[in-house]
Amino acid sequence: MTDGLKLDTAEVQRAGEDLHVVCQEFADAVAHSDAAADAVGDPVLADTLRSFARSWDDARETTLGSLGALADACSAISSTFAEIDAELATALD
Amino acid sequence: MSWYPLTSGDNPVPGDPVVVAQAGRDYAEVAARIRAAAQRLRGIGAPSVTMSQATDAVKVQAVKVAGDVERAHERYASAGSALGQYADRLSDAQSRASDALTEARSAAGALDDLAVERRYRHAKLDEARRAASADAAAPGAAADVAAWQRLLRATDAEITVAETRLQRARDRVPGIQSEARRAADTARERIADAVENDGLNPTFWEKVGQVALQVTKVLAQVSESVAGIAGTLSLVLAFIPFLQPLAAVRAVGTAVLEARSVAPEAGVTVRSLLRSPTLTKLPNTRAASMQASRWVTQEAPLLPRVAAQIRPSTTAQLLAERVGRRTALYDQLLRDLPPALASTSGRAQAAIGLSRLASSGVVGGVGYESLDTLFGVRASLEGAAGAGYTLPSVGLSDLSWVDDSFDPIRSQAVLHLPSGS
Repeated sequence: MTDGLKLDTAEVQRAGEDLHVVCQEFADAVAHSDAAADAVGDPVLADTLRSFARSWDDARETTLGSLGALADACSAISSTFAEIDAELATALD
Repeated sequence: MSWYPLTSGDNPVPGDPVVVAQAGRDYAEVAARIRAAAQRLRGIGAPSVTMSQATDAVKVQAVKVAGDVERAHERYASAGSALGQYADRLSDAQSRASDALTEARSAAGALDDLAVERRYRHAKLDEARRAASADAAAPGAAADVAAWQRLLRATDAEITVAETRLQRARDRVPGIQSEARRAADTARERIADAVENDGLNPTFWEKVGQVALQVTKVLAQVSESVAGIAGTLSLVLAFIPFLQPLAAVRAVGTAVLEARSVAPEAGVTVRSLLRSPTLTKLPNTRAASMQASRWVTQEAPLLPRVAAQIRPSTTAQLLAERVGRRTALYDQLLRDLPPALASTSGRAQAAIGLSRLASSGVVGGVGYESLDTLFGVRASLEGAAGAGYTLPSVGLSDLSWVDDSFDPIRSQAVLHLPSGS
């Protein structure tokens, strides 16, 4: 079975969870950096933090969409398998 | 909050270190997630992990997107660390400013009290002087003036001390502010360096997006493959305990085929089974199911291998256990039955073996391969019952000869046992 499937679905699921968190941060990056900038009390550092999040504004939407799809795919693999597995296991009992 | 009298009222070290520290922790958490996601993506692309042929490309792409995403790790890790350290230094600066404010307020309060005291003593001195001027010979007049003068000087001295305390408190402010600025500069430089050097410019992010989409497409194929594996198992299960109506079997099988089976060995069997003209030419559903049962029986040793391809899987574990149990019982039956049938007690033992086989829950129909051996078991069972042997689990009344003339291949009887589970 040289081309069989061997995939740790739990690991893929965790990758999906991690990517979802990363995507969420990227999506909220401006709000988060603005909140931090407002709190640092130093105008120069505040500007740096704001630019930290805005430096890739142009590509943000595209990247977010792609990473989000990747995260969803990772989650879908494990959840789909888990559902099917549960149904089959129930059928076996 | 007013910072007077330390300053004119403004906060000398503005900022909220609690919020900054939380932001630092948040960024550090994102950095950790980025690294974890990257490592797991690399795991998907690891050489030890095999997927279908179509997914070879994704292994390369997964590793690539892992590297790309991980480049953002340094940015967030640096920001998290820089903000965390800055929050500590900002908190320390604010603590020192707060101490200075306390000192300034204490000194200012003392000055207020001393001002009142001074006005009082100054008034008393004026009063003593007026009394002495009106009557220089009055006893004690000069002494009073001298006494109030001493008290006034003492108050002035205390005022000087308090003013010095206030000024020293105020003098600490520039140093505290300078330290806070240095802390901010350090944080800014670390973040700016990370942003400038990580290469995560808009063009880079566009590339990440493109690669991520490619990975997503192949992962979608993997998802189909997972469904295919599971579908294969479901098809096998559909054949097993009591043979399901052929229509249902075909429906599952079609789904498996559409889901692209990635278990080639099982897939070939399944496909050949479903497409076999032998099946379609059989006279009825039961006949087709029996034939399917035979094929599945032949392929039974393959099932644990198919199941082992998926982890962690409850189904795979259950299937492997049951197939293993069934195989052991089946082998035992084939080994023990012929000599056992030679005696009445042996026939009873054969019945026990059959009942155990049936109650294994894996097979309700016994394969054709054993028909030659099993043929005549009915008589053996009847004989065993007649001789007073108790048949556990399955009694004669539970056994049925479903179609004595059915076997389309050998025209022999098929023993049909009820499923024990």
